[in-house]
Amino acid sequence: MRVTRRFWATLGLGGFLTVGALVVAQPLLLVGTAGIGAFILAQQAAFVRTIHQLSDELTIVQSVSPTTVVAGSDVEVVLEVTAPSPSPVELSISSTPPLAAADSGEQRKTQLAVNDDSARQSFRLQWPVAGKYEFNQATVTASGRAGFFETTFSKGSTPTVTVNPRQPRDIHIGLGGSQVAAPFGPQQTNDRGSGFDPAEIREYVPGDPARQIDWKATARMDAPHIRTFEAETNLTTTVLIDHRSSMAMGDPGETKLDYARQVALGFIADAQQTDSPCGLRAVADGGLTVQMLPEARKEYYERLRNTLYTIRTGDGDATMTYTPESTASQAVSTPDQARKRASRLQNESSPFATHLRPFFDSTTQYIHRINEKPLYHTIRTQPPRDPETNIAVLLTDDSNRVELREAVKLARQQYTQVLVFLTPTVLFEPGTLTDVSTAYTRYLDFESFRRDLMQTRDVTAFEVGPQDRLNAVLDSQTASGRANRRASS
Amino acid sequence: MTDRAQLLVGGLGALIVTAGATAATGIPGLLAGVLFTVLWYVLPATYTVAFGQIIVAALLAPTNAALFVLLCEGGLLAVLVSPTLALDQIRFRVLLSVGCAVVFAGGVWILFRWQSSIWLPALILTSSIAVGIYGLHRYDRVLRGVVEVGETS
Repeated sequence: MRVTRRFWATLGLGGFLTVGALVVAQPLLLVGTAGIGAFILAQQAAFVRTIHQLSDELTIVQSVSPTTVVAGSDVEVVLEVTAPSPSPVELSISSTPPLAAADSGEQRKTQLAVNDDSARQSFRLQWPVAGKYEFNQATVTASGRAGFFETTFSKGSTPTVTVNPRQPRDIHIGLGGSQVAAPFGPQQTNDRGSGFDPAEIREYVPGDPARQIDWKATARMDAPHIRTFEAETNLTTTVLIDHRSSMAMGDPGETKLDYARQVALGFIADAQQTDSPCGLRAVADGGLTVQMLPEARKEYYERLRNTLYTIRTGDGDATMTYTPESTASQAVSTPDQARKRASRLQNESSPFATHLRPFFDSTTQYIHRINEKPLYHTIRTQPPRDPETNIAVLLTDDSNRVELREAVKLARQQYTQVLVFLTPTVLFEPGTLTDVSTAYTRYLDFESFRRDLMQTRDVTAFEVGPQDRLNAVLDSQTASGRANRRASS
Repeated sequence: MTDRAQLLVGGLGALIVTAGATAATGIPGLLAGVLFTVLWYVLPATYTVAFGQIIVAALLAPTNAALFVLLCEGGLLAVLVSPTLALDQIRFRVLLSVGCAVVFAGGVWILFRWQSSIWLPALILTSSIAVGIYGLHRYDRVLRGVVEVGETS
């Protein structure tokens, strides 16, 4: 219980009368002190009674919706106060959320005026940090109607909010709707060397080391034979993650980029487990934003992970100035090469040249178009040092199919194997599940594109997305097929 | 009860004080009574009562008119409790205010008559009020479970 200025003023008045009584030796002034003191005591006793009754009868509910969110999301908090009878005093009830909640600037308290029996206030809170947070009880501040006293007490429910980190859950990685358990496993090199797994026994040729001669086979065949083994090598993984604007699609914390990031993290963890070198490249709308060459050091894996977490969708700060006409790979025709060839054909008047000229014109435009795409450009201008032991992991979506198709073909020329992880747009677009039949048609289109990518040798294309949404799309088709069969029978 | 009751009781108290002072001292009492009524209308009741008590002590005490003093004290008491008529727990507040005022004033008067000194009643009165206020404060803490068992302060 706290006293107000009015209390002190009234008490001072009583003190003034007391001092006056002592100075002028007049006991009648003490009667005034007695009256004022009695009045204050009566008001205090009434206030104590009221507050005790209120703290018993008042119902305060703090409700939170939703109770589980991802970091950075808003939560709506409703503060409801109910009294069984009209309140005899004015109450100010304020919600006291955990300190971790970010203030949205909205009013967090409500007033229960005299003679009111209910009040309600809703406001939004944001949770930037993951964790489990419990609200404190609401703080009730009551002011006595006589204006001498006020008090504060806590009452009400203490809801809990669980804030999950911004990362996708229930990840589906698969082929044609079927989950694959281990998309990244043992790799064949097709090379011979000093390994443990026997590869073949072949006849000795001059130059082979003598220590490789298999004496038992030599005795059996009556000619010198050597035993070769599968070469052991550390495969280098280069993760190329696309964080262009199209990868921002999806709910907060469950965007295409979030899913792609999870897959990338898995590859980094796998590389760390096998002590294999791993590198990272990130491509934004403006071009290459991250370039980390493959290395196999513990702290380097940590750097890779940290870098992945900092990647956001959009333009990004390009680390490399993007110039489509910069260093061209020998493997692909540049616009200059195309122009040279076309100009050579211009001088020829043979039917062959006449027939071919229009194709060169369109090829020039096509190469121009593709070269301007950041993903393709990055692959073209940043070839691996040792293509034989390099695996490319492309994490992107199906928004830029033409570019992706060409990028995959190019990557296959530069890497021994290409793994493509695609986030289907149909599984991330808001509202797609309202029309599941259309969604299924679009998923089939995506699936056709994915299969098309896999036509290239040593290219494997996987789909990555939320399992529940994929199931919803696939189940709808199963259900409609069943209904059609029932109707036809 | 309403603001009207508050006005009625307070006005009646002011009228009693004015009438008592006028009857006891004539024109000075009337002027003081009118001033008291004006103050009652514009100031909080406790300030008005303090002023009224000064009037009683200054004008009525020298006349030894005990009846008029009692009448004026009754009027002052009415003015003092009148604001509570617009609040909740009216009966509790009025009874406690009047009861405590009578006990305190009676105690002061008895002690003064017994000791013939003003110091002891003044000391006991102020101590009683202070102990009462602090006691209610502690009682409130105990009721709300804020005081730990064995806590001393």
